[in-house]
Amino acid sequence: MIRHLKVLAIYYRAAFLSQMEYRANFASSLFLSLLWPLWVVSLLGVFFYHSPDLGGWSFDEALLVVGLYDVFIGLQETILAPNIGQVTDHIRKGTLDFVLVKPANGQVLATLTACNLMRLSDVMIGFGLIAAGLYRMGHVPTFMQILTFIIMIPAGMITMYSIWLMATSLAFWFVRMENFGEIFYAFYETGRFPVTVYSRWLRFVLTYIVPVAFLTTFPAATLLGKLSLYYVFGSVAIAAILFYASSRFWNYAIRFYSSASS
Amino acid sequence: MKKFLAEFRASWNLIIEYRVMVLIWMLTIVLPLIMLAVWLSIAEKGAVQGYDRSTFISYYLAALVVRNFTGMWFIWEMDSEMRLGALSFRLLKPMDPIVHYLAYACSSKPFRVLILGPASIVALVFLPGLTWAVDPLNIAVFVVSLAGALLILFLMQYTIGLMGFWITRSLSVNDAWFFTYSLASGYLIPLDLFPPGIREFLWYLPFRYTMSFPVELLMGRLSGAEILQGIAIQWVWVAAMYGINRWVWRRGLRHYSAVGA
Amino acid sequence: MKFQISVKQLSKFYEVHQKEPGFWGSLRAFVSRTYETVRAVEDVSFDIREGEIVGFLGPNGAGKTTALKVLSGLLFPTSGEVSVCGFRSFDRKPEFLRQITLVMGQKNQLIWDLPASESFLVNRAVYEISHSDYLDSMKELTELLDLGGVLNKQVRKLSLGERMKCELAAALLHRPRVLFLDEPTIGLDVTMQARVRDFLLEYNRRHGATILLTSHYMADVVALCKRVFVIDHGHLVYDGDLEALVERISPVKYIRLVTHQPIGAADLSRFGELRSVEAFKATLAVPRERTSAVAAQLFQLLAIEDVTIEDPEVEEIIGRIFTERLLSK
Repeated sequence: MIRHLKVLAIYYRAAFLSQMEYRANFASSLFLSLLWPLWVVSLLGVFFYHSPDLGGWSFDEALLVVGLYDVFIGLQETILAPNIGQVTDHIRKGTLDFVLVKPANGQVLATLTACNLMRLSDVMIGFGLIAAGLYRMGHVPTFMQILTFIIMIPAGMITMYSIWLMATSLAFWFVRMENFGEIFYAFYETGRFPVTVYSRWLRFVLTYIVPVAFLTTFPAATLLGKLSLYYVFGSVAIAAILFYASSRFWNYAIRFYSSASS
Repeated sequence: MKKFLAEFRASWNLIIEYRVMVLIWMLTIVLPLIMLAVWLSIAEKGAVQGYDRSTFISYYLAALVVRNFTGMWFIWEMDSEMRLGALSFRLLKPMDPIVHYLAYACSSKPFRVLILGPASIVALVFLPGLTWAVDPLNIAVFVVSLAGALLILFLMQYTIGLMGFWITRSLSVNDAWFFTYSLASGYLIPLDLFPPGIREFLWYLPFRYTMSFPVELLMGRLSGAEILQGIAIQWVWVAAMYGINRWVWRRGLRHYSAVGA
Repeated sequence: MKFQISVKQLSKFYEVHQKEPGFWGSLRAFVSRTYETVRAVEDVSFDIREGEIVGFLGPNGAGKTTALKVLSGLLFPTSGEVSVCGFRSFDRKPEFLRQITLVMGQKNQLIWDLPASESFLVNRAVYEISHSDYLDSMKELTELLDLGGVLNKQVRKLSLGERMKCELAAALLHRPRVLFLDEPTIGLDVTMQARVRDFLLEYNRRHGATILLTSHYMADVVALCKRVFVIDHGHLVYDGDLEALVERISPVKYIRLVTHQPIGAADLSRFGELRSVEAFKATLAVPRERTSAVAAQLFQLLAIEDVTIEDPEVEEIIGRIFTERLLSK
């Protein structure tokens, strides 16, 4: 495990060095990271111009949800998205040797080697939004609230990653469906706003079928002390189950692939 | 024209080859639906400035159609070609690359129409809230407005793509442009619902003519005079965008030939 | 006109920023950059007649590809004049573009996800090739390049060799008069390289097309080019016959012996420079003029089982030109 992390660290250092070469890259990444909150706060602004609350959430409370969305998108763009292109490219071109050559339990990690550190700015700005919302409300989270918050974020990340891994595994059978995972991004986009704003059946789907609610709304709620521990444990359980299922499925897909092709 | 058709044919074959992917991409255009969901929950307490449930549904479904028909995503292809040096090949062909990219950009549109056409008809029948003005004349004018919107957006993205001659991150410029477009065009929020000062300002930008104008047309909210005036202004914007694009193109070529492939 | 391609005092300079290695170098470059001028091509002049096959030789970064790009019209000269088929390349007039073609090894102009035949159809429209000309070209190229069965497979599913064949076909559909080939055989296996070379020779023979070629593989140059340009650090240091170049740089030939009886260095050293010697084998480097005489002597004096007389590997010669700067000013 340590060895794998060391290997990942080497990849990430190389990525950092090569990305520093591109000043324009960095500047534009930063610029976009700043534009995004402007954009989404404008959206919120228009909504709240016409309504005092959004699904029972005030403007400041909604800022937390929006901030968390930014954090997750940032983490996704840093770690997931660069690998998506890489992995689906390899599947399409049939050049998966880089994965197949690694020892079995390293294969899953092999899907994480690319990283785009530029997008960490999104993560920081996301936390900035959360802080802004808390400040405006004058709410200082208790230790318990912070703890559950901290637990739910990696749980959410692992959930996102697992869903992506499962969807991408399908590309082994359906080469032309390599972007199937993108359907899930459509669901994630609902995470910008508190899940209570949606109609009941959509809320159900977003909580129990594609657990977007666990990514943004629930962690925000827990920071505000509005979430029962049931959901906190639930998010950890979901993450664990999905991770296990997805890595089994991925390894199965790889074995199927390597036995089928020449 | 023959060259355009040949390019279109090749791109169309690509679409057919990857029709499942295109379908999936169509399914990922959900931002209007999410916005719709939020507005509907707000509208439960009462109409918003004259927009009730039915208006919102008609608006956002129209926006979905317009977005599918006018959306431009070819800049990724352009960026990739510029980085891999494939642009050199295009420059050495006796055909302006704009013909290729326009054909490529338009290639998925017939497919989308094939899917959305019947889907719209089904929606019109089964969704009582959906009120569009679907008489033949209005549809004809709507199609003209779609063409205008498509060309404006194509020229905008092509010009941004040409910035790849100078900068490595034209894609980031495109992202920033999308933020602007999505707010200023009425894609995410009906322009009417913006606070007063902002609404007036947005009226003068070309973005209105890439989304809000066709949507309002389809919804039948415009008078005859307003339609004519809108079409006229829209196509003036098309010409203006073309002019800007040609200027950027000439300068880009000069720069490229100085600095190298 | 007398010369199809005419280049006078061509120079091409670029500005590139300095890259420093390592972590702190990266950070420093981030904040402020220094630029230096790269003199990719400097004061190069030559003339080429229609139908010639010319090879550009030089190490990486010597300026070969840059020169080719200027000639094809992709880059404009910093100074000097370039005329190809009577046109200024850089103007990129359609009439000019219809007469040339550029092929770059490992870079595709073919549409990746479609069969090559689709790309051909696009080219046909773009170059305004008439129906009958198109059929003629297709027939000839299919035959010469052995394209049967390959045209209807997606390009991404083809092997590198098959892809290169299709790239060549796509590039030649419009029967250009001038071919610019940048490393066309790179990455191909030996058989395929030979096939490409044979094809180019045949094409040149049939159509009289001028071919300008850069290649790392000496076998390409030896097989195809009578005339070579040697480019070193942007300068044209040699323009002429390849064989003459070989003779000038390496005035020796090698005599390789296999003997019945064991031989040693002492036996052979008076005949020439000993390159290698083992119990029954030896290689001698002998001045060209004296090769036959020496060979005759060896036959008389030693029990020889087999003998071969060869030129040194051209690669070696060319390599020496650059490592020893034999031709530089």
